[in-house]
Amino acid sequence: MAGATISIARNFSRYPSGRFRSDGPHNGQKFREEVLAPAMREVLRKSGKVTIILDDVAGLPASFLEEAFGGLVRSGFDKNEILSHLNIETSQLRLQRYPSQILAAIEKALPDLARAG
Amino acid sequence: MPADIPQLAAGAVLGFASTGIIRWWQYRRDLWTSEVERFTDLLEAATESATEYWLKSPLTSKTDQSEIEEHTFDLDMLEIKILGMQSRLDGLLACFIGQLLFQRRNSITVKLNDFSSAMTGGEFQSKNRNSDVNTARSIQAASAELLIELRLSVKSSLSPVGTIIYLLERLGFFVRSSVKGILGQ
Repeated sequence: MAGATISIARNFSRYPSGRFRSDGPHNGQKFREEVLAPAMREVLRKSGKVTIILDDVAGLPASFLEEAFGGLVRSGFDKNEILSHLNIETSQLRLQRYPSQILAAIEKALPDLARAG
Repeated sequence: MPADIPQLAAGAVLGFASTGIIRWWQYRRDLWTSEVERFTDLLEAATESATEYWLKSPLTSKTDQSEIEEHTFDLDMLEIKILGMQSRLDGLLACFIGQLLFQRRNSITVKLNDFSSAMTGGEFQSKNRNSDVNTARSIQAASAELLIELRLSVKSSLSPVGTIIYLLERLGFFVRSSVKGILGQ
């Protein structure tokens, strides 16, 4: 089954920070638009899952997570499709609660009606 | 009167077992108390730093270059401290969450997620961030919720009934792991 594995620390930055592009070089919007959304489109086309590896990041601010993952819903992806094609993993004890925080950010996000319309 | 050896032996075994169980429970209580105190102290520090951060005036309110540099430094310092404390809270909780009853683990994680969202969500690390009294208040509220949930969870896990349930959960886990090992899964 096709799929994509993305390590935030290796494929993006060890220091994710900020929400929008104006907030710095390793922001949530950039991660979503350049890394996550293309991978998600690919697995939705070909089937499979996007696996996000959280290991080795030096902190995960909620603003980054909400924009990166909650922003998928606002940018037009269906919430149920995201949840069924996304897998979040970590082997590090200090990051164990983040999969649930990411899933909560996706659940709480609302579609951008202006974009959908 | 001749000594009833089996009765004496049974009494001795029971005595040792009771003492052993009580000592084990005391050790567990004392270990937990220190872990929970460390977590609580760190939570207080994180709450204070995050409240200060969200009440600080935005960078755009400064016009003098030296003021801008000093303010940028203050904001950067607070952001790094807050992220560091968030990581340490995550680590501390991960170290002792396994000691809590299963039903309590999820609620603690949700409360910590809520605290983290209040502390580092919204416009955290944004150059255009405004001071936000409501976020500062949310942080205080979320911190209180987490503290209450933590104390209640520890209390219920350390109670006599909670201790028995904890031991049964561990036994169940051990049995499941053994069965999986035997079946080669």
